[in-house]
Amino acid sequence: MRALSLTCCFTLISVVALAPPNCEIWGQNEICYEACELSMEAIHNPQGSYKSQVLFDEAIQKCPNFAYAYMEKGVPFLKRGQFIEWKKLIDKAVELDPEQYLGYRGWCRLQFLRDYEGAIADIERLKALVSYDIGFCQTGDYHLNFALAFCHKELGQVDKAKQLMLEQIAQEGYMPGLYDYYHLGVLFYELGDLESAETYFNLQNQENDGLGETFYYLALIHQQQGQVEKFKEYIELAESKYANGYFRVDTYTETFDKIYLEDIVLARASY
Amino acid sequence: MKKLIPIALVILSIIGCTEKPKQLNVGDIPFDPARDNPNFEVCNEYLIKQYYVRYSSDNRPGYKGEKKALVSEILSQYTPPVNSNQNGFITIRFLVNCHGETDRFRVESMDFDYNSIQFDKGIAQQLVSIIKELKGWLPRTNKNKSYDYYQYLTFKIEQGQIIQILP
Repeated sequence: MRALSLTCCFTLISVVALAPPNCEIWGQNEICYEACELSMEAIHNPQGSYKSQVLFDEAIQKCPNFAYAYMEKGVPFLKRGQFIEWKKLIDKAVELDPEQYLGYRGWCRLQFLRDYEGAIADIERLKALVSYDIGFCQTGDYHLNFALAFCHKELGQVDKAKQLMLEQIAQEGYMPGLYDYYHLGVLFYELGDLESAETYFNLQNQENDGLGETFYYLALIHQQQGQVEKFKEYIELAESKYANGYFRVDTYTETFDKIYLEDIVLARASY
Repeated sequence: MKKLIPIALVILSIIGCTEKPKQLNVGDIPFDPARDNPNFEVCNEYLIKQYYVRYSSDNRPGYKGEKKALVSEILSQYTPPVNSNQNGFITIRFLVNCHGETDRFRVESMDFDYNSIQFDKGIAQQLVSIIKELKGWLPRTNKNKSYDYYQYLTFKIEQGQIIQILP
């Protein structure tokens, strides 16, 4: 139930973050109001369709400072692997409205291209620009400080990654994301702190119904602690959960700290 | 007046036979006789979805053995050029048909600043050759019917080595 509530909550956050603009704000500017209306018409056509893209082009032509039209026109290029075209469009959106689109561009650079340096540059620039909480990534899965942590970890700056994650979950009023504890567990496991890792994986299970990946790591922890029966119990659970569809999936890209069924099967066979 | 009728008919038939250019969506890869296999069967040219588009009743398309198997197959076949100083991303887009076969490969390369560049053939062409031989693609299926879809693979390259395979 908590997982469902969080999913709904984060989905709403991400929808709000890049929701279609309220065209009424252009009320005094007739041309840009029309451009905004054209963009609204565009998003009611299939994303990336010829008609949708033409409508965005018309919107941009009418109101060249309308950042939303550039961002939204770029989305299908991003999702379909045409990154040069995407980057030109999102750069224009960021140039026109950095506060709105820096976090989004940074997250996309991380999610789609594992461009760690680029993502850090964008998210840090956003942090320097605003005085409020920088918020969550577009998918709603992670606070952008967790996204920063993933980048630093992949660049070998593990202490920085740990600091960012721990500071974020300690923030007053912060509701941990669906997978925050999983990534903390993996980070501590990789650092060899099995006790902390186990604590976080157990918290993850409380948060999110028990994913195959979480039980895989719990099995490895018990294996390293010489607790054979516990290892067997958890690795069987991991395999069963995974085989029944309880594992991380993202519609577009591979998830972070990903474990595959083969990893679980190999771990099981090793004993 | 009657003499004009055949002329009008000829003009009308020319107009009628002139094929209207297809209005392409982002990511569409139309058949190009110069580089695509004419024997490659597209099961329904009008129902090709992107790899990420699916209905709740669809079986998820992908690769047999998950991405781990795909990456393993590619890395086991890739030979980095000696002393290469090439860096950036190579994206290969292609079509997986309803039988899990592939064709219509298109390559786009960029540096780490997202500017278009050309990679050595020893890298880009080698990757295309490897991908062409992959046999584990799973078609998108729904209620025992199979469908075509567009897929892409992006290679993050540093000094000619594959650092990451995306998405």
